[in-house]
Order: sequence, then structure tokens, then C-alpha cells
Amino acid sequence: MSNKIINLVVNGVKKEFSISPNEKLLDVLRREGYKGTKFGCGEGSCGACTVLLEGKPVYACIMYAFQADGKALDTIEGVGSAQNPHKIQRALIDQGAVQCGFCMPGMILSAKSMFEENSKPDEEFIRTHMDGNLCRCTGYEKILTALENVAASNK
Amino acid sequence: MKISDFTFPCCVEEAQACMKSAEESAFFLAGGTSIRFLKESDEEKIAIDVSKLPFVGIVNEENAYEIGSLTTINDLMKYSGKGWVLDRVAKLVGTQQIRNMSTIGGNIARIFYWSDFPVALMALNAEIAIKGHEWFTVDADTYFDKQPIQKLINGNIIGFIEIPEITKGKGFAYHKENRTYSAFSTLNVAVYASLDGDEKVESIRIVVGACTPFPVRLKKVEAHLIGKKVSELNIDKLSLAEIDKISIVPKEGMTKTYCRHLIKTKVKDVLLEALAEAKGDCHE
Repeated sequence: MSNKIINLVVNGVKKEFSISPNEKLLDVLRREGYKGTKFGCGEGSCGACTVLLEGKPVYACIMYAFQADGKALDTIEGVGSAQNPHKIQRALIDQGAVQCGFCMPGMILSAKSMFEENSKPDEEFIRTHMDGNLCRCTGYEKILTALENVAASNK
Repeated sequence: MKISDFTFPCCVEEAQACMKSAEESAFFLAGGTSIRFLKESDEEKIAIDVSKLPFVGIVNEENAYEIGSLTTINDLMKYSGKGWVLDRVAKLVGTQQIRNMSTIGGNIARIFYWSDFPVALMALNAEIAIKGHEWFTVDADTYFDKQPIQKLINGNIIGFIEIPEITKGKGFAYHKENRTYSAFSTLNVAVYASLDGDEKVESIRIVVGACTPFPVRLKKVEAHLIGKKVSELNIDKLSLAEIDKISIVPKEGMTKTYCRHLIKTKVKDVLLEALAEAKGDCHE
């Protein structure tokens, strides 16, 4: 099983990774330093490993790295910063919606793709779009309120 | 299974040539979300990633929809068209992330108990167009009578799925039972019915799955309903004894007795819903 080269555009930057054909996208990303992408369940259930592939949320833990070859990938490292958080991050902080924070990278990326598809989603749209991200701390209400606040602030 | 190599064919002929040259040691990969459920082994296989093949999209022609096998579940969910019903099935599949990865072709290439589409497509009497040496079409009853992967040998690959548009006088309903939201199915029931001008049942297909090895049509119940006027039907008193004879593989700790009871209850619910749609004028 020899390594192969794949090309991706990660957070807008062209990258070349040497991968084993059997490696999952999550393992490659974390090895290459994108450690904001979390290993949660490892079976495509919890959403902690969510990344955006061509703008759409996918589970990096069940996706083979080669399946992303030639595509654009967004990880949490490309969204905001500690000094200048993205408005979704700002809203989550303001609402006190973050406790342990482990689910947040995936949660934020799912929310980002949602707002790119629909800038003013209603509650049902938010619940459907966020259905693949589990949070074991908050009970979701504050996350939902934070995302509704973002929707309300969007023009 | 371990993936030892991968390739991205750009056309069907190239994909089939890859499969032929690799013989038993390769497989077609669509979304890939089910691979983790295959038996773990050290067997090495080459993944032929078919995601670049031109089997994507939904086309409406002559009261029917032709769906490319590589269309994602999320695209099925978000599509809206006159008499389009697969959004009702798609929205119950997994999560946003799974729906973005999974394809309808992948969902029906092999029947797992969590495969949502076989039951719905069998009820809709779908036709599955497969590319072998030549194109050929298989009706849903034949396609789902045993593990479909057996029909997808020697490089055969699903190209398109055709389903009817639900026009006036027709109705479709689908229910999925699962323990928690986004969990796998414990029972799927689908009904597709059409009525004549006198609101008598002209044709009907009732299909049960997930707790059965393969989707099962309730042909005796269907036969009993043909020709009956909907307004005179008493669904509560409908004989469902046929369900006592079907093979059951219970899930999630359910007993066979409970499964049969649940099927009987759900079949009635789904029948009522499909017949109500067929009776109504809500297809515009």
C-alpha cells in the first residue's frame, strides 16, 4: 500500500498531501496540523469532525482522504480568529452557547454552510441543517438562539 | 477491507475497464458512507471512485423523473418539482453530512437494513437502468428480490433510476420508524396508489422493509384493495394476515411479535395517507 499525492485547497490555500489510500480525511487533516477538526465518535454520528467540502458539510472521520482530491476544503482554522471571531463565533460566545467546546468547530462549520445557503433561516431550517452535530453539554437551546440571532442580524 | 489504491475514472467505459483489469480486487465507490459497516478484514481492494461519472441530476420528462445514480440524498431532499416525492424519503435519511455524501445509487447498490430508498423505490415501481456491456433496465421487483450487488457484477453499474411523477389520482406515502432522530430504520413502509375516476383503487403497491431481509410487497392486501372505492374502505378492519407469514429480522431488541404488530399499525397509517393524497387534489 504505497502513498499517493492528493491536491486540495484548504481554507483557500493550495496544499499537497502524501496519503495512504486507506487513510481517512480526518487523520490526514490532524496529522497536517488542522487539529481544530476533532475526532469524536469516528463513525459519522457526532459531527465533531465536520469540514466543508466544496462548501457542504461532510464527516471527515468516515470519508477517505482521496475522496477530497482536487476539491476545496474548509476547516475551522479558516473561520475567524481569537482576535477577530466570525459573527457566528461571536454570537455563540455572546449567548453563552459554548461549554466544553469540543463540538464547536463542527457546529460552526455546519452553521457557516447554512448561512451561505440561506442568510435568514427559520427555526426549522436551522434544526434540519444542524441535525448532524451533537452537543452533549448545552442542550442546544443556546446554540439555536445564537444562530437565530445571526439570522436576525443578516440583511 | 483495506483500500490499497484508488482511481477516478471519467467515463463509464474507463470505470468498467478498471474493474475488469482488477478482477475481484476492486469495487465501485460512490459516497462511501456504508463502507465502515462492511466486515472488517485485511483484504485489500482498489477503490474505483465513480463520483466523476455523468450520472448526476434529476430530469422530469413525460410524467416521470429520471434520477442520476450519483445524485446525493441532499439534492433529492432539496429538489422540488411537480409530483416529486423522494424529498419525503430523503429528509428522513441520516444527517446533513450523511445526506451530502450518500448517493441514491449507493443507497440501493446493496441492501442494508438502514437503506431507506429500496422500500420507497419498490413501492413506486421504479426502473433501474444499469450499464453493463449494453444498457439494460430492471424493474424494482426484480432488482430488490435479492441482494442487488449480485446484479452489479462484471463492471455493471447503476446509471439512472426512473420513478413516476405523482399526478392527480395518485398518492404516495412513506414512513420510517427509528428509535431516535437520524438513527437507522427499524421499519420502513411505503405505499403508492392510483385511483380511477370513480375513486376506486386502480393499482396499489404496499412495501415493507428494514425489519425484513429484503423489501416485501403485501400482494394479498394489494389484491384485496383493487377495485374498492376509497370512501367505502374500512382500513381498520382490513385483513393483514399476510404480515404474519413474512420473514422478520427484528432490530433494536424488538421481538418478532412486536415487529408484526408495528407493521400492521404502520401499514394502515401509510395506506390512509397515500389514499388521501390520491383522493385529494394537492398535486399542483
